[in-house]
Amino acid sequence: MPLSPASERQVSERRVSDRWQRYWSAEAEQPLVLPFRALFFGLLGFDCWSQISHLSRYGVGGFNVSHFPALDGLLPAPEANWMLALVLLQVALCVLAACGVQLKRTLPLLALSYCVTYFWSQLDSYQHHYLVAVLLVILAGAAWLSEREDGALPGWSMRLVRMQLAIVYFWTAVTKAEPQFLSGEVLARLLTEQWAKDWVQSTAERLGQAPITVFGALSWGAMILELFLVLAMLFPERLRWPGLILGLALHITIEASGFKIGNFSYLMVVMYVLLLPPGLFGGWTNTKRALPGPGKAWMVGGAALLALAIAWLPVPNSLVLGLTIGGLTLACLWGSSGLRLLSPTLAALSLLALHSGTDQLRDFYRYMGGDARARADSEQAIYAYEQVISIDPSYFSGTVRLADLYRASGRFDEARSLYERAQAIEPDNPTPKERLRGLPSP
Amino acid sequence: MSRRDLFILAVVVLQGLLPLHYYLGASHPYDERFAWRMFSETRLVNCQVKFEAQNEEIPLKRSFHSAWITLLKRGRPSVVQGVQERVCATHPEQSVTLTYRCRQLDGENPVFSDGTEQVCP
Repeated sequence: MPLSPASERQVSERRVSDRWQRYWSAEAEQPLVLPFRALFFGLLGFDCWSQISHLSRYGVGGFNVSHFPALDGLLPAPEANWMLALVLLQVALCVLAACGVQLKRTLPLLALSYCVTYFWSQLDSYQHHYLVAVLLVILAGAAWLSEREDGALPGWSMRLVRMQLAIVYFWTAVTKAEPQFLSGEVLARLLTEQWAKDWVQSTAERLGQAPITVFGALSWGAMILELFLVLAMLFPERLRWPGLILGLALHITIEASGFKIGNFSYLMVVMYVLLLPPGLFGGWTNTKRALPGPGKAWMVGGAALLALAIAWLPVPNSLVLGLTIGGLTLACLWGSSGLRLLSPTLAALSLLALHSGTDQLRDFYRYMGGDARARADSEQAIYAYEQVISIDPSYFSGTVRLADLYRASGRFDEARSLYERAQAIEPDNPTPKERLRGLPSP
Repeated sequence: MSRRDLFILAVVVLQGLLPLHYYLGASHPYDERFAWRMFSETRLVNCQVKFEAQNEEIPLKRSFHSAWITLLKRGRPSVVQGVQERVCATHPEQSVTLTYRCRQLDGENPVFSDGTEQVCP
């Protein structure tokens, strides 16, 4: 018997609703949460740390344009020191989030902190930082809505992250559909790595075509591939393996081709964990539950160690900052158990390892000093270069720069001592000797 | 609908439609923020943004971080506007003009301000 139009509509609505519920129930995706969380937040912590050298650009001359210029009259200009404090907090929170610590508290705090550093100034207009900000809001919302223990991320959040990636791929493909891009001209101008240019040249010669034709073909290929990745992200059950292989190939090629896009390729490679079969990780979740955890003293001791590590770092107001971040970590951690209690210790060790293994903090002050010199702000430049050589006493250029600044401000004895130190660092370099000759006699 | 469904719907609708603001003309063509326009030709735009007071060029590098100068070269309109406001505030009662012209990959050279009009109130 045929249904009435009203009944037909009801049946159709129920079908849509059932499909929606089936799609988003996504229990099968749950095993992906652990590897995704560990890799994504681990890389994000490193990416946040990698921003430190660029932070000295904030607040110069009290000037700023935020991502929402209508708010500029209400917001103060961000200061480099505030941004540095927020980034250190983000690194610590990323470690906690990677360990799955109380995500209902950790993720909203991390998302808020990240959104403040991103949206406060157009000095950061990197697309991948915008993507991270959006993903953090998604994950913080998912943790908040989670009914699982400790606000553990639900399986549907992995699906939503994939949908966000599908949206990004879709709009990026739309951008590439413009005639200027498809002609190959844009790619030809953006490509900087010599091996890639040589490859295009030799391919063009082999095919008897002009290099721009090869660039055009590559541009078409990139657009079609991105449209395919939209489908792979939406329907991994059907397109998992081709999506995984082609998507990874795309991002690895982009990274190898020398496009200046920071850690974006690495971030996207990590995202492809979400296309792996969830069954691969089923055992990990069970193993985690079987492991015994340390006592609560580790939690307090770890937070104290984190506070001390930050207090030890050469950053302004480091003691206050250490105590604040240590306290916030403790607040996030409260009520946790098991191996997660070790996460503040891990955060402290990560910060110390990042500081000793990279030049980010030295370069923070170095760029600050360079910019202050360009703006003829000698007081700020001297402060910055003093920090540079206290962090890295064997840094030749910084030592000479500071000596030059001392000399220009009439502090000849200090300048002399630094030129002598520079001479000891690089005995064959003639610069310190020449500058010493130009100093007035003591 | 559950709170989870509303959240998912909000994310998908907002993120799915937000880039449309660029294509529907709500944004300046050189302002591609929030539109996921990776590797677009706008990245290759090169602009000259120059302020003059009393017929002398104002040295922007003295007052602004080089990162802002880079954004000016990319022609980001909100940054040009912000710099203009700062320049006007630091040069009160002077006649300030703005030259804001760009070179695009397609050969077009739009001129947004040709340096003849006073830009400060």
